[in-house]
Amino acid sequence: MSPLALGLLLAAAQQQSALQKAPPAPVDFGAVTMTLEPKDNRTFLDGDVWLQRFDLRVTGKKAVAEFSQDEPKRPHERSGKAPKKAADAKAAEHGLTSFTVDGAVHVERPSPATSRTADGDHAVYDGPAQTLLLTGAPAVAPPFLANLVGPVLREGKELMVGERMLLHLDTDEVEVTKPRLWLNRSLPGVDQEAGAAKASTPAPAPVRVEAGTLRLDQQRKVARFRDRVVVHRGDLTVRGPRMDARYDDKGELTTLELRGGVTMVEGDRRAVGKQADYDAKTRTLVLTGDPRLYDRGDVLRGDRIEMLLDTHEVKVDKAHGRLRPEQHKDEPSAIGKKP
Amino acid sequence: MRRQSPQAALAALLLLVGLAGCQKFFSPSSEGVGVVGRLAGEQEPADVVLRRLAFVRLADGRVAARGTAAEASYRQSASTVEAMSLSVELPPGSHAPADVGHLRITAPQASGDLTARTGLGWGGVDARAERGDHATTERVLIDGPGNRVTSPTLVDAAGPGYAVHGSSLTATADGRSIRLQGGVQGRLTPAPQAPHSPPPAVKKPARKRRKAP
Repeated sequence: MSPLALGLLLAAAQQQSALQKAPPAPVDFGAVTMTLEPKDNRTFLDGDVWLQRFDLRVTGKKAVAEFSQDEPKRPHERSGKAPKKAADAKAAEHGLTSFTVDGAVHVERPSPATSRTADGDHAVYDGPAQTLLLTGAPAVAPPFLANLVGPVLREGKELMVGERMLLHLDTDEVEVTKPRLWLNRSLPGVDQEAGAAKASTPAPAPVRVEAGTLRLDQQRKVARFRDRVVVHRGDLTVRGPRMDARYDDKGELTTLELRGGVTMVEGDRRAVGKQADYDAKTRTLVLTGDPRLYDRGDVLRGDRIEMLLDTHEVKVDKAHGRLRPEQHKDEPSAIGKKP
Repeated sequence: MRRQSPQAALAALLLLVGLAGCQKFFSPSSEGVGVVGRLAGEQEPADVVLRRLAFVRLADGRVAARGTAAEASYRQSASTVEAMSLSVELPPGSHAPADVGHLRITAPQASGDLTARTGLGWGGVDARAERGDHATTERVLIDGPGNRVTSPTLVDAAGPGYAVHGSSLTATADGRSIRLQGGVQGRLTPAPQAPHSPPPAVKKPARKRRKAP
């Protein structure tokens, strides 16, 4: 499964894309108690609060709903010449502007295939904008995530954390600030088709992606990571300024496209190139754009450098460079120095 | 049995209307239940009975409330008044919230204790506002001294952008705070997104024409 599929967790149903120009969808709510303050255009809800918009459900301990302010009546409305129209106009203005849920916020979108949930401490539903902003750490954080400051998104085995998550409910897009994403299904050895027959494959290494921002675009089936993207897989680390992750219709990762200058480090091996493409099916990383490979004094250049991540095999097209004898491998090299 | 003048009965009824207009309902306490029980067990015939009446309540020279009733009965010894098919209309800014327009409250049955300044409407109390708000509940209680309005029965309300269902209601007399409790559910319609308006045109300062030499 993929970050895009994680985005589906909080996104509204697919048919919503057809309603982009339609009026905002109504939201259902419930609580133990509800206190209205009409003059301040707000309502407080306490105890087992829930908010539902189609199949998106948000729960929490308490909430505040705020409504649009009525504009002052115009002179002709005061005079009573058109009281009916004036009342209608006011009715049209009135509506929910925000719904803020606090305390042990839980977001879920039911799915027959897998559980899709998100947890945080604070959620703001913006009625006119049709967005849901999730912030704050959940009450119960995963044990391996210390000092968590933001919400957690889960789908099956996959997990993503970030400082804040903004869900566009109509377009199914999700924006995540400072995302950290764990990809567990696209690993070697956990291929569902292979099943138990692939017992001899290497033990799965978790893939972790970090970036400054992430935008999940369900319609284009792409997750756009920007600002200091880092991909970790075992002792492999790939860095670049931007990366697009693409997915198939099932939500499975197909490719990772890194652009703008890519650096890959794996143990003593280091490779650079202007761009890199990772094929999730073959689990190969291809560097292009003046790619270079540095490996303990060896320097290889070529048109493209292909690395098979499972076997650590490297293929270089039109290779040229310098290979050191084994006894001189560890000597310092001016060419191989990190920039 | 002493007979009271129609004016006294009307004054008593107006007080009830005034209580309703002020939204001073009493809570479902023992005091309130006591009023209901006493009225329900009332056997004494009314001192004054008025049928098909209309009334207006003035405050500071302005109409604070107006309404009608199919019948009103006044009992002086108990200091109570009962009304059937009561309808009260409150103009905006009097006792009703100003932004909902005229408010019309109807109750098939109503009663009031003039001494305690408490009242009760039952049999399906209905409130409709000019703006489009509509609320119904089986019973509404008025607590004048406590400045409270309560309904111990299910409450349904709907209006522009909202619909809500609660198990019971408590409100302050001035309507500043309305509390639904015992489990609340509802639906809210988001406000439409404000259309993008073009930036205001910047007026260029008029050039001063130089006089020809």
